[in-house]
Amino acid sequence: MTLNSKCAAIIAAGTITLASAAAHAATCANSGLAGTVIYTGGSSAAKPMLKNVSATLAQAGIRLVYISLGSCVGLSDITGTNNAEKSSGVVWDETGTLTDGGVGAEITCDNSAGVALDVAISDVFPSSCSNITLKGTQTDYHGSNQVFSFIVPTTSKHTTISSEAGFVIYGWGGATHVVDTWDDVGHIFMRDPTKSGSYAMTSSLIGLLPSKMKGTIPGAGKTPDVLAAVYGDTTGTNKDKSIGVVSQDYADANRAGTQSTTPVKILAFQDKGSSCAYFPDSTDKTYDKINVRTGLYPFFGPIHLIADTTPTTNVSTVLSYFTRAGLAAAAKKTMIDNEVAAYTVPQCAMKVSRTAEVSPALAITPYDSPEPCGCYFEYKATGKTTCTQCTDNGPCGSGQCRYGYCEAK
Amino acid sequence: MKTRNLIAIAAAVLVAAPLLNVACNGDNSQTDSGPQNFDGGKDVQVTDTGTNDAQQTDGGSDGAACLTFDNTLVPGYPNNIPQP
Repeated sequence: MTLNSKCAAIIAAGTITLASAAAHAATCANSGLAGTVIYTGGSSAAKPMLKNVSATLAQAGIRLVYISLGSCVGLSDITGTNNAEKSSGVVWDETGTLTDGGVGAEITCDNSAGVALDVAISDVFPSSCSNITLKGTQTDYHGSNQVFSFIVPTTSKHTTISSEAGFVIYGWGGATHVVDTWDDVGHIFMRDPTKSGSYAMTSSLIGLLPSKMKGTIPGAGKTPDVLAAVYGDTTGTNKDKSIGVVSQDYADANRAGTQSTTPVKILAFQDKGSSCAYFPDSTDKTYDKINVRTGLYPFFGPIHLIADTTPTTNVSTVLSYFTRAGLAAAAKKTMIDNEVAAYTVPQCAMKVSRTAEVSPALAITPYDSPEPCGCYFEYKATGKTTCTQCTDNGPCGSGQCRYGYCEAK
Repeated sequence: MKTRNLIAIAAAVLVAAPLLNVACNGDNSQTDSGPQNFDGGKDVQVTDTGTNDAQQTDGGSDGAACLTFDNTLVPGYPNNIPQP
């Protein structure tokens, strides 16, 4: 092939690709994927889990459309009036048949005509966002627990951070009053705390009003942008100045020691007045979330799904997968798989429950799941468990065989 | 407290001290009468792995690393932290 003919071939291939993309450009209402469309939107941190759940819901005849907005924007949309959302959304091609992007390919779709969210997804309690009040006809349903972490470059000298340090770092933005090496606002990363649940929760955690937070909002200001910004400081002179907060689905998937191309380091967090700092997991090399599950690591909360108290049948189906209400055992197990794969913690694996937003005055109470799944969670999250394997209740004594392991009940 | 438990606590102290290098408050709600820092509470889970004294020697798997942040690095800590 001559150079010219090669170029022509490349151009032709590009034309075909563009034509293909154009052919796939569609409204979210008619993406070409089967299923009754349900619009969800809000938290950008929840995206990895929603992708997993989307494939499960497709089997139930539901086509999940997700719009990344930030928790507080999603809440504003669904609690406001005439708040048609016009931002583009995504759907996931769980069979890989619609595009050449493979199984699970993400397809951007158009909402420019404006759509109403059926379910708003939030990392925080609605009261943590400014001017948000649920309608009398709406309910805050809870899903699995989303965990958050302060992250730094893998080359950073830092391994821990305290609530008090976070207060000064994000309150003063690295100027006038400085904590150790965090002295440059250009490397103290955050999302817009008036839109982002991650940072609304961060402000609550460190006892700082969202309006008082100072930092740099990188790129489009979404969770992946914060991750990329912190990773970007891995080399050079800013490695010890850099810090950000991301949800655990991003932090764990990009944890130092993984195959991630953008690895970061998770900091152990020391709550106000505490003498110890904890990782979400027992160590920075495990994934058991034991310190979340027992309440030692406070930076977590349930994923909130705001929808009508009396939802349509299809919305009710979506909600049931998150809340487990009325769900068959096999579907519950599938949802645990989905949630663990996204590094969230299903409530059935928790020993505590969050009753209000994370704050210095912890609103954590003991939780005794009616259907505990701690053993199966540990197995799925870490690949091992000391629990007894079972196929029935025989080896479980007074306990219960659930998802292949003996639970206490 | 049984001698067996005292031996276990002593062993935990010896192993934990060089690892932790910090005096963390233990979980004093237990029946253990040992020193607060090494009483078998949550803070010595690195080596002891129990969640209470009765479980200290049970080889449980609920260990939690006890690290610490040096709050003396925080301006004004503890009572005069500047308010932005």
